[in-house]
Amino acid sequence: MNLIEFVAAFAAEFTETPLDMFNEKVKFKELDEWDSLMALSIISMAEENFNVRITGKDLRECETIEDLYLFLIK
Amino acid sequence: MKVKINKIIIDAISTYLPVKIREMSNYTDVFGEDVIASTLKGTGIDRLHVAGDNETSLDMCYIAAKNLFEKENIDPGEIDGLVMISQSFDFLGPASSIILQEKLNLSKETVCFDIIYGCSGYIYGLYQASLLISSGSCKKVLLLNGETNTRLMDESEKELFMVFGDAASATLLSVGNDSLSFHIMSDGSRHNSVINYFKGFRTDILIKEGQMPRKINGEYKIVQNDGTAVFDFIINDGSKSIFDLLDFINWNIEDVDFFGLHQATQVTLNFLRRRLKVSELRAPFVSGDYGNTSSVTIPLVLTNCACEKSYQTEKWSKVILSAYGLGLSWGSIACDLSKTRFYHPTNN
Repeated sequence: MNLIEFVAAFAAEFTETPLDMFNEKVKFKELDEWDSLMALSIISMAEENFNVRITGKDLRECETIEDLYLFLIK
Repeated sequence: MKVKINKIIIDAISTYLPVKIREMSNYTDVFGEDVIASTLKGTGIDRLHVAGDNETSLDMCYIAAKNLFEKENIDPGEIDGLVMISQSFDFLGPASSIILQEKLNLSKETVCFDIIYGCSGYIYGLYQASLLISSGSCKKVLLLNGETNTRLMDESEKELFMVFGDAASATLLSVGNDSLSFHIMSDGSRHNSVINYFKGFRTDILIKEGQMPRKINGEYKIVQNDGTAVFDFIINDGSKSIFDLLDFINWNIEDVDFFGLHQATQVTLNFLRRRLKVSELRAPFVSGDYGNTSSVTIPLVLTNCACEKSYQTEKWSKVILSAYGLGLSWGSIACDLSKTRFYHPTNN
């Protein structure tokens, strides 16, 4: 999964935020729709696609969608 | 551990819910409307049942068992094994199962066990009951699961207070022509993720040594629950257990008629279902009216769905049961429930 595909998969987890709001530089925790349930959705989506385990702490250390992507492909 | 145990049938399952109900909508003054709304969005639990002031897990199991005997026309004298699973037993000793031997008019030849497990308890109970039968020790085993979870937490711990409910179930197993396949796992390295400190002998030592992890309103928490770690555990280890078991018994996941999965919260089950890639109909969350009742959630899912039009239990020849709880301990069972009879409290 490349970065563009990851941003699309990331955006697909959201139900209220418009798709055009998403790009790799988005600080996702600043989105109105972001809450603890969204965090679980993102963890689950990322684990499914990259076969790695992420903790809440890992996610807290990422600011942008790209940060998370770089963490996952490390 | 994986094993297939032959010559066993699960005859019947009955469940019991105490009368008193805790409606979450009544707590808007206590927690605030926003907190209630956001919590309900994740838990999916609108209400739960609360044991009566003088009602214990033993009392609730007694009612579930009596109900099963009545519906199934069972002679208590035929039962020769009794296993009770709980984390809220009446006493540290004697075993509640022994006290129930007399109360339920079972023979003195009955072998009785109390086993402490939390949310994974239904898996362990069916395993212990199956071993009693397959070893030749017993012909008919009664498995009882009962919890008074609501006594372990109060309003100071809203995440638990709004999730954990009280219930009991009775399951009858006997010598028969079916088989049960088990996958069971243990991981003590994560025992801190969920702990019930209630009156354990190490609790006072931990307080003295300053090792008790968290205080709320000046009081030590009775139950510790690391939500994110538990979520991660259920989604990853839970799904892997199911896949490992399916592999062991050579079933395709598409062939499974029904998944009776532990009902931790709605959101947890949604993510587990997503990992398994199965529909909501095949792996439902039905505990919006009961809460997380620990080891009773699986019996409640089964008896609840059995009385709904969308399910025909006579077609449940390939069923997966799976549960995850404190220990950490977890496991899954593959079984045939197409001949099993189900008795739900509201549909008697």
